[in-house]
Amino acid sequence: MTVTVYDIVPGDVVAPAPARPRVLLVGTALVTAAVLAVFAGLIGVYANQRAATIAGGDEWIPGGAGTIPLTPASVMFVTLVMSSIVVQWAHYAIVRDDRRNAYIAFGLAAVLAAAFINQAAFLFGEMGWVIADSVQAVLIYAIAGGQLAMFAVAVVFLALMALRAFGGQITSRDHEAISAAALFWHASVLVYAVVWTAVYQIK
Amino acid sequence: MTITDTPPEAATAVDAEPEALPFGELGALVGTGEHARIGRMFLGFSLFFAVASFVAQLLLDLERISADAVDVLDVDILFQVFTAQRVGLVLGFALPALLGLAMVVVPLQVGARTVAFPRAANLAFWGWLLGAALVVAGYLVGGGPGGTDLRGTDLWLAALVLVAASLALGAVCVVTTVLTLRAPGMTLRRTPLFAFSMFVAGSVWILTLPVLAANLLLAYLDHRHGQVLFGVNANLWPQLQWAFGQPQIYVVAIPVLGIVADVIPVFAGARQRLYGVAMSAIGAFGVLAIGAWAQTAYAPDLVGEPLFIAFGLAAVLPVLLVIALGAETLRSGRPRTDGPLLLALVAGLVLLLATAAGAVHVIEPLELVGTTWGTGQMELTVLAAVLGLFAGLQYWAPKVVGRVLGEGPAKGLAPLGLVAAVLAAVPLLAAGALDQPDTIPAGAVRDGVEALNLVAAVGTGLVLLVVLAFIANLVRPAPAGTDTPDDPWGGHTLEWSTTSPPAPGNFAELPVVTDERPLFSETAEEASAR
Repeated sequence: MTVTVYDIVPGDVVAPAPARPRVLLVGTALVTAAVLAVFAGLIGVYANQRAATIAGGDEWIPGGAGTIPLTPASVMFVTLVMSSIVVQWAHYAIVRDDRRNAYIAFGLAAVLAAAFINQAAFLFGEMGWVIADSVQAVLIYAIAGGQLAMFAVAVVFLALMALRAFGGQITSRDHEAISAAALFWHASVLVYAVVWTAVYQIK
Repeated sequence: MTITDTPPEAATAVDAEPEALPFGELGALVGTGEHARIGRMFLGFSLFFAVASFVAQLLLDLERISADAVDVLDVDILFQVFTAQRVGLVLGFALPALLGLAMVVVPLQVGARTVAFPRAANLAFWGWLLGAALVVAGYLVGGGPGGTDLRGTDLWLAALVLVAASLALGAVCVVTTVLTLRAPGMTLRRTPLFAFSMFVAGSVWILTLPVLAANLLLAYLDHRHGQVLFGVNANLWPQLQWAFGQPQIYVVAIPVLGIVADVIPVFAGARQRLYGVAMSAIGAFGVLAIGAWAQTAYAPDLVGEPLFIAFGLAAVLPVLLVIALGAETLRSGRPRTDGPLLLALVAGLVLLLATAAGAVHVIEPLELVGTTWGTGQMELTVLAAVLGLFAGLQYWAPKVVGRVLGEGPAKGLAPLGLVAAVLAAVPLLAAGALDQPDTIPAGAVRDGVEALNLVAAVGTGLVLLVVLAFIANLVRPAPAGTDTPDDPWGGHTLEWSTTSPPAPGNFAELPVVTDERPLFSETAEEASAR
């Protein structure tokens, strides 16, 4: 009897990536959880103070103290959602060794990040709160400023990983670092979504 | 054999000491990535804060004996000392000391060459030390809650943010080690119980310390710019008090359960009974220790809420379960009454007493909230952490300091520690039951409880003696020519398969694990009984 042996692995298939611990990704997830806990604490105090003020018969945004404009905040939200999509595009491209698309996506992410920071500076100027004058100002600037700081860290993290990707250190076989940076970026967008809802939308 | 998807071969092996750094030994100290050295640095400085905190507690106890007869502290600084003692015990001693022990032991237990992110672990230590030093500086210049110096209080608040962030960073390193650097075959189910308890504790620290940091950040902003949210200095403490009370205080005791559950089987010479149940109990205790939601400054009625009461009542169950499993393990083996076992048993008993006191604390009709019952309950919990840490250090000393600690002192300190803990805390519980308020200055001392306060002061003095005696035993040099055995106890887990102290890289060959007690050789009868 003749036994035919079939080679089921095509010759052009690249060897699988080596098993390796996802140390950076897990560590980033834990740090992200810690940062989310910070915002949970801040927004919890905000909600508590707001509820107490309203329960006392006062308005949360007293006349003449400052404003919470929704339109610029919403534009910022749209900007961040777009940036999240673009960062995921960059991740997708890196995973497939598509460097051209990765360059485009990283470039767009940089533009959107700059736009967000610029819009945030404009918004803070528009609001007109004086931090020494009101409880609202302390809370709003702590939360919004904290989110901006988190986003800045996400930008630096992604920029460093992008440079490593451009240098060929992050490829389809080892893209954990870019996954970690993308995770932190998405988390900063998620935090803004909560801030937008709790602070800018509900007021 | 089960292979995990996170073999440690690819871990960043940076344990090797840096060679010929420009700044010599100082450079090696500051820039070290060796997990054992980082852990020892955490342990050393946290023990210093332990002594300072217990001295402060002794002064407060003396002050509390009588409002008129004893006046050891100036009334202007009483509230500062009161807050410094609590901050020092929890953030200066208990958390960093347990983190330090974990930095040394956890990588060895899980079969890793190093801790995850060793540079971040180093940063966590220096950040914590700098923050703690600045907290002390803040107090010394008249800041802190109740202080009169506004800039000193700003410094105190900012420094505490640094302390909380650094401890959370250290916890990230330990938890990541447990999650990703386990040896081949070591599933999470097979993780040694101390490493598992640090995984649980670290996760709870990662979720709750940032909430404390958020409170501190708000307080800092408010205090620096107008004080419109919280008001004057003295009002800061109620915003932060949740981190030093029930249920959050239990975060310092989660690793104690792991130490107890790791030590008992070794000295019983038997396999831990119902390993999975013990793990579940530790996990449940971790969940019940999450206290960031219980901020009574924002919700004063919370103490009467069913959830708060349920957390307080339920916390006693996991502790009871771990101790019961330990007792069953002891019964099934042939126990050796060595120092680590005695200290672990005492730590477990004190923790059981603490959680029982906590369960009574939340029973609303008794109206114990706001009395020294809470103080006594906190002290019992911290003392359980102290004794648990000592049990861990006595047990893992060959890996931590490279020698076996004296057994005689340990055997003496265990019963003395139990007596000291009971004397220091139980009178405060009794005084609380007699309505002594948990307030400072001591002018609020209730008549008729002076004798109880005196006994508490004596107990705190004994605690201080126990701490100093253990430190003396820890730092006493080994007799010349003494060889440290790799495994002096007949340990069951991987750390005992390597040298004492561990060489850089920890293991000459990567261990492969097929069992939760890889080094345990059971008898044929025990094997058939399983």
